Amino acid sequence: METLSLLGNGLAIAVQPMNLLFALVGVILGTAVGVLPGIGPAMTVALLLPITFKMDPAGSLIMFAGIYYGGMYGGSTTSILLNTPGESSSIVTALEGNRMARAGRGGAALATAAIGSFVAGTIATALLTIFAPFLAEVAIAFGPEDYFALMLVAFITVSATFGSSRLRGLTSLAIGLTLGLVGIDKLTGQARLSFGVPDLLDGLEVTTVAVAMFAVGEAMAVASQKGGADDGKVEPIRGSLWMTKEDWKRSWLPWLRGTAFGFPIGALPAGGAEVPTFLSYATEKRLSKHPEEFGHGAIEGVAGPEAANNASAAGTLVPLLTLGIPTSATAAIMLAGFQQYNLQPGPLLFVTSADVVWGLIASLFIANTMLIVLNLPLVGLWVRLLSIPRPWLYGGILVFATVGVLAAKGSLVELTLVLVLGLLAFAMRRFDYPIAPVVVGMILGPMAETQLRRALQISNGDATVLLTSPISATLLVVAVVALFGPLLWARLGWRMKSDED
Amino acid sequence: MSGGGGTGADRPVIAIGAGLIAVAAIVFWQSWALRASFGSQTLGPQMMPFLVSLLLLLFGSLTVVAGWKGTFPTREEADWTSVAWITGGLAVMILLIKTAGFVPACALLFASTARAFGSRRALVDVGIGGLMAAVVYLFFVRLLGLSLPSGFTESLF
Repeated sequence: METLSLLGNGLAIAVQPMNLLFALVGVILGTAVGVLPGIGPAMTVALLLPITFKMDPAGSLIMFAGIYYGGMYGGSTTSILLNTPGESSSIVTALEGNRMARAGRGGAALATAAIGSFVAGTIATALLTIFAPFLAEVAIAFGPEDYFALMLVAFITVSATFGSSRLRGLTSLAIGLTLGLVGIDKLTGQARLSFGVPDLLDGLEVTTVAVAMFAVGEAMAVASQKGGADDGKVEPIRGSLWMTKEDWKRSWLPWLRGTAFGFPIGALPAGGAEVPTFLSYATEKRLSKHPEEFGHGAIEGVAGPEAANNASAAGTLVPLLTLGIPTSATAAIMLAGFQQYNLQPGPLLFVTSADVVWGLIASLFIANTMLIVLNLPLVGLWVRLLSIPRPWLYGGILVFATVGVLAAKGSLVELTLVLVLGLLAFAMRRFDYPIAPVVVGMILGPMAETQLRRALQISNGDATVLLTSPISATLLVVAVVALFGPLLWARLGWRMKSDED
Repeated sequence: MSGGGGTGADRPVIAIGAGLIAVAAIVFWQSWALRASFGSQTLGPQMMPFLVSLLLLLFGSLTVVAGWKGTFPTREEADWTSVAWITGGLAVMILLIKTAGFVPACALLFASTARAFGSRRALVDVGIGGLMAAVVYLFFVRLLGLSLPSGFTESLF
């Protein structure tokens, strides 16, 4: 009951004309960057940080969340019509969606993706509304040692548990932690890794690192592919956008199952939106009554993963808002967005800034409704974005990206950092290193350090406090399992296979 | 250039591992002075850099081993000219932005990126990039009131 009245207050804030406008701008930008390859929600939010610096916190955060949700919708359009995913969370959608489009059922594929995203987004946002206050209440009892252990879990799951290589994931994380060290130490005022450059004393700007990692690194990686850049052919939208009775019958269960994968995996620090989409696709393939259609355009293979990626976006907001723990690159940059207004996400946020939190949550329902209108009847407009020639698209992305960096801090040091870190990001992509752990490590690393030092200060330097607190000890066990579990499972799976032989 | 796949040493990967170890050494060396001013206190500002440099050393060593064994995924042949065009575009922008100005610097970045993606109409690209940069400049500086670095061209506005 209390939650409902708080949500009611939030709704009153969310429907203020300025906030509705922020939500609309957010979902439009989000859909656009979701549709366009080469630019995603994480970088878009990072570019907007310097511009929104002086604006109203609630409005800006509503816009950021709209971008996050919108990116999940827009990515599916590109996957279905171009067979090139607009976002990594839409890779699976391309498998069946593009086949459907080629077979003249593009309309139905777009419809099941958009309606599934709406259904999943709404259910998952409702779950967020129910669970977030509960979790915030539990988290109030957390001491600094518990937070440190929790951040350790987030570090390991984001970098090591689900990626293609634990060594590369953890190396990316270590690079992120190193970048996070640069600047003045908050507790003692000592300069670290600044090499006497005054510009580095404030630490690295989130915008600078995000632009280098995502825009410049991605542009270089795509440009370096020989001959691979010009094979994209946009399928025209054929077939009605109205789903048939059969389509509905085959879609609704995958939507719900996709939500069931997406929300918890997004909420547990478990590495973003890709994992639940893969799980959903595999499940639908196994459960389908038409397994022969998979690979030739099965509607379940679009409905499930698209529901999963939207539900995971809502799930990601649970640990972000209640614990201050980001579990994806976009969430990490949103955390930086909160911090620029001196808002610290965590249990206290629900007490000290209840208006902002509940206004944000309520606006998510509104954003979802706006998005289905933007993405279904107006899908034809977004498709035109795909006809921008690649050279101009990437040229434009780099110009806007560098302008965003210069707006944050107009110095040549920042531009030089963009170039150097951009080359680093290109090398990382080339050698298959994941990028998200760099961003999470850079933003969460200094916070983890503060919590650890605070815990050790309270215990007079006794590190066993990490093991004597039951919450922290449990979380450390979880961290160890997350680090070595996949190895164990792989070995067991291998043994089981060899038994069968 | 394509390495790995379990067939002997993968030299670029060994180089990455060596690079990580070098960064570990730099982090350690830069933080040594912090230790001096804070004594043996475990809570000092040097604790985290030491931990991070330990991680970098560990992962760097493991990467060297992986490179030696050639266990990294194989890489496709890269189009280095395109990478050079983007790198050059950014470098020229850094050189020009405070002299010739924001608009020409952005125009050249736009055109060189377009070139990296296969465009052959350099003059058209410079024109589009310049127009885009001028609009962005006026929007940011006049409308949003943010400051952007400017040079000779912007003094004409």
